Amino acid sequence: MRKDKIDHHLEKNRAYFNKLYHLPKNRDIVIREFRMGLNHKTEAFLAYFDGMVDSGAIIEGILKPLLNMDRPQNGKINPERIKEQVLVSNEVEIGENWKDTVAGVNYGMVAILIDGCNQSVLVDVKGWEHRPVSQPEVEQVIHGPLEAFNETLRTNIVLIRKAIRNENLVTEILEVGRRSRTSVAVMYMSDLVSPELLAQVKKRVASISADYVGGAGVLEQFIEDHPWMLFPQFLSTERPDRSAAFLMEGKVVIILDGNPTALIAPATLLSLLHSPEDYYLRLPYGNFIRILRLIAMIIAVVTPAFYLSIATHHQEMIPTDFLISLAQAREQVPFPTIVEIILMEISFELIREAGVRVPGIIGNTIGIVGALILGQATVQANMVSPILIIVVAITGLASYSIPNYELGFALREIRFIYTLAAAFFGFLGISATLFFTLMVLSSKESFGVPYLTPLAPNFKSSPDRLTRGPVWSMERRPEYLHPQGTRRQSKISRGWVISRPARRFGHQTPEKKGD
Amino acid sequence: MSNTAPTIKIQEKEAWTLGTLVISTKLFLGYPRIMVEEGLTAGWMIVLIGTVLSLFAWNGVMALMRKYPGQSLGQIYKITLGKIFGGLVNGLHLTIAFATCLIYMVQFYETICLYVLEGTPKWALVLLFTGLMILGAWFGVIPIARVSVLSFYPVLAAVSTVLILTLGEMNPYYLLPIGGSGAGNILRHGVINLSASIEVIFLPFLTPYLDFDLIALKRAGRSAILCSGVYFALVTLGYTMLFSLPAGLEYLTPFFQISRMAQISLDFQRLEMIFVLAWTFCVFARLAASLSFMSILAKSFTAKIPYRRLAVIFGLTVGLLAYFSEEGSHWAPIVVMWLHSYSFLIVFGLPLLAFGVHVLKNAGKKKVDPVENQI
Repeated sequence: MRKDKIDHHLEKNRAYFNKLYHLPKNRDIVIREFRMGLNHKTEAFLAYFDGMVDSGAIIEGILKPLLNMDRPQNGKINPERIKEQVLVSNEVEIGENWKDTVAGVNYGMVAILIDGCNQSVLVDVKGWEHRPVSQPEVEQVIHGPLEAFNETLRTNIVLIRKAIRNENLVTEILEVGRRSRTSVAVMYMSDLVSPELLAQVKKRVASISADYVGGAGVLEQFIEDHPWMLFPQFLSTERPDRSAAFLMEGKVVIILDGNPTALIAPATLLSLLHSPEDYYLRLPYGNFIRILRLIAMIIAVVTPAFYLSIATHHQEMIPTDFLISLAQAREQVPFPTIVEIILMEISFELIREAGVRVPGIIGNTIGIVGALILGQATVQANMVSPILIIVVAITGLASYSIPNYELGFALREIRFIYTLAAAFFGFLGISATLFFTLMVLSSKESFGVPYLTPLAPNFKSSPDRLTRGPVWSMERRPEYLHPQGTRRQSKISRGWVISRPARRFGHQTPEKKGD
Repeated sequence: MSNTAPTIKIQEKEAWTLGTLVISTKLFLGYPRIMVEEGLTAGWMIVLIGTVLSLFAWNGVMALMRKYPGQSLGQIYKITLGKIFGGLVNGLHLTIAFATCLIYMVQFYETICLYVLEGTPKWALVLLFTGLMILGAWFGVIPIARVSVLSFYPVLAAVSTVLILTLGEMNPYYLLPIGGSGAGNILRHGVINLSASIEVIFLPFLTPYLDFDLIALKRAGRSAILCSGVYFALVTLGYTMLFSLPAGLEYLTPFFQISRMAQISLDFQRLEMIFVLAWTFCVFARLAASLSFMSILAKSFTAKIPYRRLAVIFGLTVGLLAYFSEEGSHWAPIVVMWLHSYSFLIVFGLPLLAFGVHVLKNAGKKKVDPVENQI
């Protein structure tokens, strides 16, 4: 039976500790016994996991001070005194019971148990190996910061805090996983976030009752609104700058320890389509990319379906000369167009998957070789028509332009539905699937925020929808988040225009006196 | 913040685009043909007269709504006309909604069979239309309204594109004689053409789902009538100028025929299928909106049956009737003409009746402060 109270007798505590951690079978826990003080009368032991702590810090900050400490005049060792006067460490806690003690040890702290004390002293000397902060791999930009999250929660929090140097940025640490006890950081701007949204996020995270929550993706699945929906309901990012930007809008950032990805709630379809570079680039370039991306999204979803509709049901749309060359190209192909498309689409997905899974440069090679050789060979073998290779290649290229990995997945899957619908009903099938898709999307919400907002329903926000306005016009926070403050910059954010004639320098007009 | 129905209601813009969408779907069926049949070269005048009169009729409906702030039209009928007569009136609205829904489905699958996907089995199309209609209604009227916002501009763009692309083919001389079938005839048909906007009555019935006040509702309905009226007039004008009268009297698809004339180069002569995307999308939304409306209305009769179950029941009934109705092309035009000629009397006449009853009931009472009476 598990007990919770720490005993006064060190021997009993040691025995309980051994039992708790399956010693001596369990070889990665270290128990260091020693006698405290210059007179060496008081027995004690340290317990920690090998590799999770900084050994140097243990020697300098814990062992040396404890071995050299003076025995108090009353003869009693007081953990509070050790915490306040002896230990050379910036984070020391008193463990009132076994639960605190074990939780601390499991998370890389050193527990000190002293004979005669029914409390433990927990010293934070975490020092495990971790990947340094490196460049983003999925959300790369040419302009903008080149830092990405890594697997250390503390580092990830610091990366965001470095971007927002504000006392209202709050990080609450929750715990998920009954056995794994993984830390989850819920970050928000206390003076901006909607209290309902925050309460909902915390409620959902705290309510998870599972042994192990291993990744941000698993956490996402536990707390999302619609598990069967194809489209993602969280925005996952590896970029601290992006997380900071969303925090400043009034959203909530969730980071799971051991994961280089932050989840941002709530997510809307438009936010998934945006990329940080849209904002880092000047307005015309940023908007150009956004329009290009929108076109890419349409191409990625409906190009095979369009080709199939035209080739199978609506040939009259094709100019005569092109129709003849299309017929010639398909003359030798024994399969119906739908079979051709499905064959090539699946091949393309296989190449993509293989390219991702195979390590390093071989992966890229597989992609290129697969695409080139497989395409060429299938055409030469008259399995598919050359035009279809073009269709699949354009579709594949377009789907790579989607900035969000999960949204890319959703669009890839939905493409098959559109293609099948087009095979049966041509444009009518595409129209029917489009209607169904929009109905699904417009009926869903992420943490109470409609998925298609601010398009439908419409809410007051800055000009940042399909395209964006100038940065100085981004005056309002999105109202659909119900932030505590809606204005994020002054009506005239470019102070210098006040002293200049308004007409010459843009749309902003100087505020009148008394405004 | 749960995974149930949307928590945010229909906004003003969504309401007027929903209104426009449900009204203007008939643009893609035989509506321009009916106008030309009735007014000959002056069919477009009938449209304009009908639109102006619809605006007045809408004001009448809103006058009644103002007397009972916060109540839906269905509830107002029950308050003013009593439970039995009110229920009967609601039943009439339900019947009209059902009839139009059925007619639309029959006409559309016939159009698709004839022009878009020749030889497609009837069951496949009925299944597709019924399935989507039920799914749309299943999600509820709020998502339908949101979808109508998203589809509004693409559909508008598609109609405008067709008209612009066919400009070169239009012959203004086809509009002569300008008087058409004669002033009296045009005026009479103009009044009857109030029926073109009857779908705007969906909005006052949906009051519990609206996120705005009566003033905005009035604006939304007005915008829907005006917007669809303008496009009806433009398409009727274009139709008259594109086809000389004998050829113009097509049964199902005047707009489809117009879009066939669109050409951007010698090679691309057949673009009409692109526009199929826009008008079939409209139909799906229209059918789903009708079904949703029917289910909401029916819910006022029987609170015990849930909305979604009602949607499935009505949807399946419409689908089965559409499937088993043989030779829809024979009876559908008769029903269409009947609805066109008389439905406005029910849709716009009954609110006036209810208003009259309200006035009579309150004749001796002290007037209520209008400011206090506002939402």
